[in-house]
Amino acid sequence: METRVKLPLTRRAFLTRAAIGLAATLGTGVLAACAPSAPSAPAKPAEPAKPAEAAKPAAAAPTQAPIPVTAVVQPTAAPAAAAAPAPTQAPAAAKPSAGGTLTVSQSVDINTLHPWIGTLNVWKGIKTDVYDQLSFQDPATFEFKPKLAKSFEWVDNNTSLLVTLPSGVMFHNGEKLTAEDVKFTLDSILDQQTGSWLRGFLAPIKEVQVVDETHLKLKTANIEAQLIPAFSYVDISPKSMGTDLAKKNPVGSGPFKFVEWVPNDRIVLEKNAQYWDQARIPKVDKIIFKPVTEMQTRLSQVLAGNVDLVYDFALSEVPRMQADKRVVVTLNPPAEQSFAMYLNMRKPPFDKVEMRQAMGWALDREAFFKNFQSGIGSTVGNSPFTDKHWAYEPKTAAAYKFDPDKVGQLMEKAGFPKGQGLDFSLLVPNGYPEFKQISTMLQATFASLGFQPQIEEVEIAQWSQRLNQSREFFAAVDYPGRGTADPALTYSAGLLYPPNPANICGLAPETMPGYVDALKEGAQTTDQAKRKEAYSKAQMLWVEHLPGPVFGHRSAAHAALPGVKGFIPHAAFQQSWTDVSVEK
Amino acid sequence: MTRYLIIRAVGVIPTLIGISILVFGITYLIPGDPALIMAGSEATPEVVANLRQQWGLDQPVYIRYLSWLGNMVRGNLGDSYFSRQTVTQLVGNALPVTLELAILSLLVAMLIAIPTGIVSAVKAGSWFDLGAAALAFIGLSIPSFWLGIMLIYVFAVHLQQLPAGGFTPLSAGLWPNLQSMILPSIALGTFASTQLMRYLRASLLDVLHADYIRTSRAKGLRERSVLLRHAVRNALIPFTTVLGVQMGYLLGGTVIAESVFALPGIGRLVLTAVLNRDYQVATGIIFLIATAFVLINLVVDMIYPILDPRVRLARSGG
Amino acid sequence: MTSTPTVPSTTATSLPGAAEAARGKRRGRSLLASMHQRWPLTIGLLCVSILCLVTIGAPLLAPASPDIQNMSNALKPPSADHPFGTDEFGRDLLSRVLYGGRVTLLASTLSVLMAALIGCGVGLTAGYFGGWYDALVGRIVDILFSFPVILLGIAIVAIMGPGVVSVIVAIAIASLPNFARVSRAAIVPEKEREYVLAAHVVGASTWYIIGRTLLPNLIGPLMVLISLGFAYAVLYEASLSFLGLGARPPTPEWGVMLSTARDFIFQAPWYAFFPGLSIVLLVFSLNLVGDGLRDAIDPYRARR
Repeated sequence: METRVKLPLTRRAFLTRAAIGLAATLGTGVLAACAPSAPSAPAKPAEPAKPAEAAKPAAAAPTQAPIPVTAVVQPTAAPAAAAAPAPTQAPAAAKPSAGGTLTVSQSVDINTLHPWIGTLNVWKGIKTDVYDQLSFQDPATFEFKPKLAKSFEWVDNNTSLLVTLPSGVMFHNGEKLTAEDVKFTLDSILDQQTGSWLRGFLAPIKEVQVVDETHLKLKTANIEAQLIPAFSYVDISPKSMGTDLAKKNPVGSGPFKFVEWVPNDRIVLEKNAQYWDQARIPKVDKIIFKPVTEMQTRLSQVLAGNVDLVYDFALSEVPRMQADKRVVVTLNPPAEQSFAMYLNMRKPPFDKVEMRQAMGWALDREAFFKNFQSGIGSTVGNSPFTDKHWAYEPKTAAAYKFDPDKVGQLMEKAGFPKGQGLDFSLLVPNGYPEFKQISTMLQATFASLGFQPQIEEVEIAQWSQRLNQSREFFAAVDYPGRGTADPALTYSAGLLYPPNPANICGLAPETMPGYVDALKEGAQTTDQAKRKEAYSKAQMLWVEHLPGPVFGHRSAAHAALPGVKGFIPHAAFQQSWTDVSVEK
Repeated sequence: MTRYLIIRAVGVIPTLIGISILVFGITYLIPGDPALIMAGSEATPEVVANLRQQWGLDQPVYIRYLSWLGNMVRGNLGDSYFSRQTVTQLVGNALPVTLELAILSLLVAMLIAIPTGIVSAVKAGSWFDLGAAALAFIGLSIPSFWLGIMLIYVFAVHLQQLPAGGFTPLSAGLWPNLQSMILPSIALGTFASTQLMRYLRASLLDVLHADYIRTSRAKGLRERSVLLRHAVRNALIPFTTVLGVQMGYLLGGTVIAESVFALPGIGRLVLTAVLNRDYQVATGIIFLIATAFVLINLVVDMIYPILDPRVRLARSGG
Repeated sequence: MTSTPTVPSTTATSLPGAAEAARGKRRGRSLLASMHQRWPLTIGLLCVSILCLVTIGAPLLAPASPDIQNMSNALKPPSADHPFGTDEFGRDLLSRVLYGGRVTLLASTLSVLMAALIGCGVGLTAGYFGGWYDALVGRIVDILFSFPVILLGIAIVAIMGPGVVSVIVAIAIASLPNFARVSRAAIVPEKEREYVLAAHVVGASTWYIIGRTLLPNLIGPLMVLISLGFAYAVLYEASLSFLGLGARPPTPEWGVMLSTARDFIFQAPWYAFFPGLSIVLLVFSLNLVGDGLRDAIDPYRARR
């Protein structure tokens, strides 16, 4: 049995030891505290600038008929100069403070440098200013206007679109931009071998003819309304760069030059002082994009003044950020993206229209937007457009809401009374909390009616693979865009609405009789009334057969330091930074 | 003695080969097609097939393994599927960040653990000991990301004294660089320190009751001498093992800290690589980390004879 | 295997006689007195038992079903109706914490048991038989040991798909090497002892020797490892869930709840607090048990 050994530790020895330990730990703390303060947030005057109200795209004119007049239209300078009330002060009035660096934080890093293959929203936000596009969408009015092109004109009995380019446009590598480069870009995208997701956007183009250095003719069969809006997605790359662009530093002709991409760290752009459109020379010298995956860290960074602008953060944090005087929150109106679901019509149970309709009634939309989107967004849904859009069909509003009883009835009609014999799961990608939230709510609705579907959470790579290639899924939530575009583009782009083999739901031309004809009519007529009627029909057909329910429209939120001026968010994430200035 | 060291060093090679097989096997088994990701979701099957061929993804697995191994031995770790950079470049950019984080965290851990451990052992059973033990257990149990987020909130957002994440390279100045590292080091180091403290206390306690300590006290040596020259030095032996283990843990375990603090280090790099199926990057990095671990253990093994003459003698065949 | 000594005082290398003598003397004391002496161990065991009972009894104790959503009652702070508050779907957090404990405990228990079984089996046989088998096992254990656990977890879950099963496998594989190493280290010095040789002479079969003679030596360090391994398993699970690789909705699970709570940390701090507290309590008490056991086994450690 051991006795307790009491160690004769002298007081002096103990104190010395304790002092050493304390000094060491305190030392670190003192060093930290004595650090020169992080750049303090600039003094904030009482900012009356409140972001545009959520539900309405503030006084935006409904999208005009997209077929422009043959007049020569210069690409307008600063969209904010238009009558639309800018969410922040009109930069034209503010003193343009030149120079400086703008730091923007994004939620993910890009995964390619290819302008025609990369689909991430963060990539769109970066490349829009590095390249030029033939047209652009006004962020305030949603109209499509010429940008690189001076004008568009339908000629040759409406079978050719004549595109006129300005002269004197230079790429960042010193080459001249000519019609050859535009032809090369369009041809490459149309080529199957390139594998671009934009191919469907330009599908009506049969041939691209170069007339001269500044003129091109795009041959089609008819007038196609989708083309000019589609051009806003097409970045013009030099012919000399070829098509293998995934790993090459982008060379464009835009107002910003691409400097570098350090994966997981930053992307740097710098001002192109030789930009051909002098009215749109950038105000800042440099932009640094930083991917920060941890949402709380991103928000803390802007609150602490470490970054200037946080691009696209979770709506659930909007109230907290709006209440904080250190930042200014800007909101995209809910119009472009809608929360929709792909239902796999190729196999049970969603081969039955009743089951698909049941899904349409199954989501408590109000609760979703209220609890997870801070009440920001539109709960109407049922149509790719919101009621501000000229093509919107008001009769769709009553088509579906939240009604668990109807879900139960439809399940029974489909042959699954109380969920007997029913089997399906919901596929959700990692990193998209909204999809998971919607899926969890849907799961609860079905569970209360007798059958609880599983939620499968997989990585985005696998999610994409199962939706696009192996088609091993039953139902998956997504947020397709182009709700503000011309309906011709809305219905011909993407993987939900166009009835072709790439359609995720399995929507074929014959699935909904009359659908293909309605879309064709809408795209090829010039009569506005006829177009509206055609798209009305398309929306009603959609609501009847419901290949994919549309649950509502999504907004997006951005937060910036008060010193950041001139930022107007773009609904389709084709963000231009040329008007943004930074005051410290 | 040298003979032992040489044998030991050579013995590492089969281990490394085994690791390479394991690493390659794992990344091969992970389902998902990088060609599909590279090509984009709307690419035609021909485009995807082209890419697969380009990257040699259509070859049988053992050929891919052998060619990867062959390249590796020559120092070529492969190319990323997504960015222009080679794996070596990516690692070169990310490794200094992680290394700095790991070293600073270890320093923080030791700064906390060594004094606390020594005092705890010497004052075994006192309130200090109990309090330290309680804190250690709590620190051991707190999820590091929670600690990280709280640290950011308090020091960056509220007090505005330190940056809320992000990495400032040394080129921008030593002090800004350290500033960006303080919070992450504390978050990671706290966890490691609890381990170290407990081990140091335990081994010091063991040592303090040994005969030779009683002898040196009987000899009349001052307490400090007894403590530092004899006790602590012997207690450091097993402590070094744990140090090595912690270092390895820190190297691989920085994933969470790098996510929370937005540091462009190895952890985040490998996580993104796995998620994107950037096979070459994932395989290369995991292999490097595992190798580093093995080498660290090797080094620790070699330090032993210096610290412990018994081992030195034993290994000389005595 | 490397010759680095393992954690101090978990190896049974003390003098044979004294160990038995000390153990016998301890048994003579009254149970209460020894419980009082070893109060950290007692408290730890108590805590763990309470947590286990409470989570096993979740169906009886939980005030509501963990899956019932009530969107209008989301993210509410603790109140009489909902002592732990509600989550983002309006589900009662107390119920979810109780039910969640089951998944956490089940996953940790299974993974640690798996690791212990396989690890000890391998370590025992490697230590006993020696030779090329021992060398091979040593290599494999070294390799596994070198793997950063988080990365191993990510890889395994990526291969097997997310879910509790993958997490269990990942943690088991990551904890294996420790068990293998310790059991081998405990066996090697014993196998040359007289009582083992005696068993040989008497004609006992190999398995009898391993099972009845050598295995009991392992029990002590094994129990320590299991309780500590348990603690690690709980933490690893929380980390893997943090990275999005854990249980699938709507199954509650402490790690997943903590991960989700991240996004609401400023709106609803109680969301992260309770699962976090549960994890801390569980790991804390498991560490107490492990430490206490370690003190109990080695008679030469100074008592506090």
